[in-house]
Amino acid sequence: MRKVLGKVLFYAFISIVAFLVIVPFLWMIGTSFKAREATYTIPIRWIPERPSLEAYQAIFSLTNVNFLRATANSFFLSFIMTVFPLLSSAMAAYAFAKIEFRAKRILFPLFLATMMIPAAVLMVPNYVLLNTLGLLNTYTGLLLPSLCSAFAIFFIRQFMMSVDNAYSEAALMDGASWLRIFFSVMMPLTRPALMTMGLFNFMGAWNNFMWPLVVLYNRDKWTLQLALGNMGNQFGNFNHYLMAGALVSLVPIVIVYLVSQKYVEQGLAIGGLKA
Amino acid sequence: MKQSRTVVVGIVLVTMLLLAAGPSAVFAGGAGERAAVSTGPVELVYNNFSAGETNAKVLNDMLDLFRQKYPNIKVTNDAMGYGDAYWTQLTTRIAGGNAPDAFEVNMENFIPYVTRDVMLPLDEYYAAAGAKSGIYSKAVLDACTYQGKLYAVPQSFSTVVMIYNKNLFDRAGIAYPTENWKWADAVAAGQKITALGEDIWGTFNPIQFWEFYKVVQQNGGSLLSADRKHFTINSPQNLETLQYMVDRIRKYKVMPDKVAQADRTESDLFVEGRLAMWLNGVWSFSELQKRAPADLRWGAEVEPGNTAKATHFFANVAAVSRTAKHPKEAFTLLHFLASDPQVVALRLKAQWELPTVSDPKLVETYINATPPDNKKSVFRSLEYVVRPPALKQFNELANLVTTKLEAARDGTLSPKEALDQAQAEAERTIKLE
Amino acid sequence: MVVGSSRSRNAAAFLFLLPSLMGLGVFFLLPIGSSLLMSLTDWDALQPMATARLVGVSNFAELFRTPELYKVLSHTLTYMGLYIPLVIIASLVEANLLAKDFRGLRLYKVMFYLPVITSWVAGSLIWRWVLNSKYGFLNNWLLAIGIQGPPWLSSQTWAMPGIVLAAVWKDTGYYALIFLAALKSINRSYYEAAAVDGARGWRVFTRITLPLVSPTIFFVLVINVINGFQVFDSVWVMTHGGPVEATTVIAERIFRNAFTYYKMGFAAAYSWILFAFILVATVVQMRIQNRWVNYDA
Repeated sequence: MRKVLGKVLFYAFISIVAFLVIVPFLWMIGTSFKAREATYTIPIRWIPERPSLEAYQAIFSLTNVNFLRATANSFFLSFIMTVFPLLSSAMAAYAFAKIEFRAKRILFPLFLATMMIPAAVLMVPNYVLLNTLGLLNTYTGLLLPSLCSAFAIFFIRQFMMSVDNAYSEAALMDGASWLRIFFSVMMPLTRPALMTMGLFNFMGAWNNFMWPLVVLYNRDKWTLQLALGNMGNQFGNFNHYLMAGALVSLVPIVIVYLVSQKYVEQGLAIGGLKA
Repeated sequence: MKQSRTVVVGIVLVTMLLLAAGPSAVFAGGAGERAAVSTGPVELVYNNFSAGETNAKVLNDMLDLFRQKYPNIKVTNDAMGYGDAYWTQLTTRIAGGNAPDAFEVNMENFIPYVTRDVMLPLDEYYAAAGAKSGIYSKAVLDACTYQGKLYAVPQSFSTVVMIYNKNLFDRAGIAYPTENWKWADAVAAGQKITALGEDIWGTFNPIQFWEFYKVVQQNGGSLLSADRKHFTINSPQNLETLQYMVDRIRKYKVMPDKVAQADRTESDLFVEGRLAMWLNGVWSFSELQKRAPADLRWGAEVEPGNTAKATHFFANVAAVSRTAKHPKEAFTLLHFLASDPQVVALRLKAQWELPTVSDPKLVETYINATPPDNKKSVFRSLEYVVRPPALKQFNELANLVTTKLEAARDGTLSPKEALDQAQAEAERTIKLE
Repeated sequence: MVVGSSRSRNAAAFLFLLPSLMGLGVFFLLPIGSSLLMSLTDWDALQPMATARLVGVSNFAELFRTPELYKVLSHTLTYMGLYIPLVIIASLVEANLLAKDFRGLRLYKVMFYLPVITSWVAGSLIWRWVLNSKYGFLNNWLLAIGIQGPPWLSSQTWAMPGIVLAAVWKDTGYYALIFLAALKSINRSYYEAAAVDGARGWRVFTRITLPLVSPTIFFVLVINVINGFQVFDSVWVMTHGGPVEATTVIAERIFRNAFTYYKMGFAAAYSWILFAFILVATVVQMRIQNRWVNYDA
């Protein structure tokens, strides 16, 4: 009996919390179908008076920015900004976690310190740098600064440190190279951490606004966030367009999240996050 | 042992070398990198915002017309929506040595940009094209002038008028506004309308810097002295003006305060039929046409003044960058987009603000396209336009004055305190040449 | 691992660190140098670098002289003081809820994560409605239990708390994921031992769970302090620093000075002051971690 009550309370509680989280989205959906009427009204209108698909038709036929193209761009960009930084961070984390070398004591804090540098400090100088290198308006230019990610290095290092060294040491003494150990031992064992970091990288790249804004000129190269932000600017009062756009842009990312969930869960459970 | 230390020292040294040589090398580069002479087509980059999404197709059609006439000039249309993003991106490009050949600015930003010398003076190109007089109307050319020289080509303009809801006026049984209205008339009408019901409002006039520098002139005051040598923000006439602006909310209650407005935009209020008189620019006409329900009848009139009339005039102008490689072609593009008869026809048809050419026939076409009714008020307003003060630190002045005005609006400061503090802060932080 | 000669280890380490080192050198250290140099000049964004003059530390002096820095610092600290405890508690609660295996777990997980992946553009529109003084969801709800809600984003006192609420809604799912991992990695034997001793519920939570996730809490806290000092997106898009400059924060000032007032040199100095704040706060946290963070097991 007690158990049933406990379960009911649990479901009630979690449902209330979930409801609070979701309610704004319900309003978003309703608003996206409002056309010739005010968005904000007293009292709140959940269901539009004169529902219309105008907003959805509009976002898929924008002249300046192709919404679908922007979505594809975001996927591509987020993907390369997940994989490459992940590789470079894993390599660095490996060095810090597993290889004993003198410079470690200076370099690791140096990397950590970069986490504290405000983005504001770096933006304009990095922009000028890309301009000199002729990398403006390219995805390469966008990608390069993110190759050094102290956060990722820190995170992955923690996981690697908790992997037992016995097997690796034996292999090393038998003549295996550090590289070999990296690829055949460390990477598989820290896959969960890598998947988690990969998800974080992806989300970060997906949501990034300022840096792509100043680096990418071509509308064709624009990411989804830029397209949405631009819509926000152009459509000031056409809130229904913004809502429709925001909702549409959620769909792909939810799919990515669902797919990666499985791996992330597994991994986090195994690795744990201990200092 | 030694090896790792060498490695670290090596990295640090190289980095220091880069740091020392870096900034100068890095900043000196940029603009000079692009290939010099090209015998092929001329390539231009044109940054703009005023088309937005609503008129994006129109702009593309205009550019097609340009392409047909000048096949050897290739234009990249970097169009964005109007907002922070546009300015951040433009500033970064100019700061980074990568300015677009031509770029559009609005009145607000024309001043900070032109006082910083990022635009090329265009008088010689105007003269060569025979455009110095007779093509563009005087008011718009004035808007592109600084210290006697022309720095931009006016693309479109808007005036600010009082848009009014005819239905509400009918309900309250009062006559529609006329060009002769004064502040008192507007307040009286506003009160009758606000009395119509809960959450119905007579007027909405924003309380911020842009509005303020104009409204003070309706009462014989101004923000700077006539010789522009010192600030007169807290003059007695200005105090009277601010008091009137605040009284509209607190004393006469014809305008909602922030709480009553409850985060709804004026546009929403007007579209819902809750706002009778709305001071806004001509640019909102096309938006209202799309959003207002079919039964909402609306008109426009010249804004009421007090001892004088003063109205706003906003032009979107396009400048050629100082670092542009092909200034002549850039001017040709901008001149074409502003004055070519076919282009102007496109703009009129789309009701995309107003063309800057002074052709009386065009005025007729524009006026006859309603709603709103009484569109000739748009041109009548031109008789009374005032210009904002041309200062390098314009944005800082705008910001500090707006902050104090908002405090007065919300009741945190009295109008006198607000203006005194604004005066003090302006004197402290803004240099007047 | 100490295998092989130190020379070979150093060489290997160097190779593995190479991509990150290049990123570090070129895209961190170099810009840092430029930025430091910039902060000592009066460079105006729209004018060529060559016209900038060295003004020494006058940018910094001006920052410390005017009251504005202290005002925005207090706003930023207010934000952090409200946001950080709320988000950590909320995400711990959420993580605990999601730690059990129950039907529909997947669905709830997605729902909790949705705010995280929504852009702030959309998020701000939603929250400006939620926080609306007249018909907003929040005030109507408060009214139902007899409290007259404040005019949130229009009030100088309540705008920042309003922004904090929106930010907590948006970020909780993200940290909940991290805490969930930590919770799942606690060795079952602790709970079994506790059950044997007859401990239940709250006691188990405070005596066993919390200490064991304290390293993760520490990690999240440090990250949040670093990010909290730099808060920008949420504030900018919800209130633009208003009303009447009641929610101006450091990062917003930096942005405005750089892109609206074109005072790049000044903005650079501002960002270095910001860095100093972050550095001090992080060092302090590192020092006192021994007092409360539990690294056993």
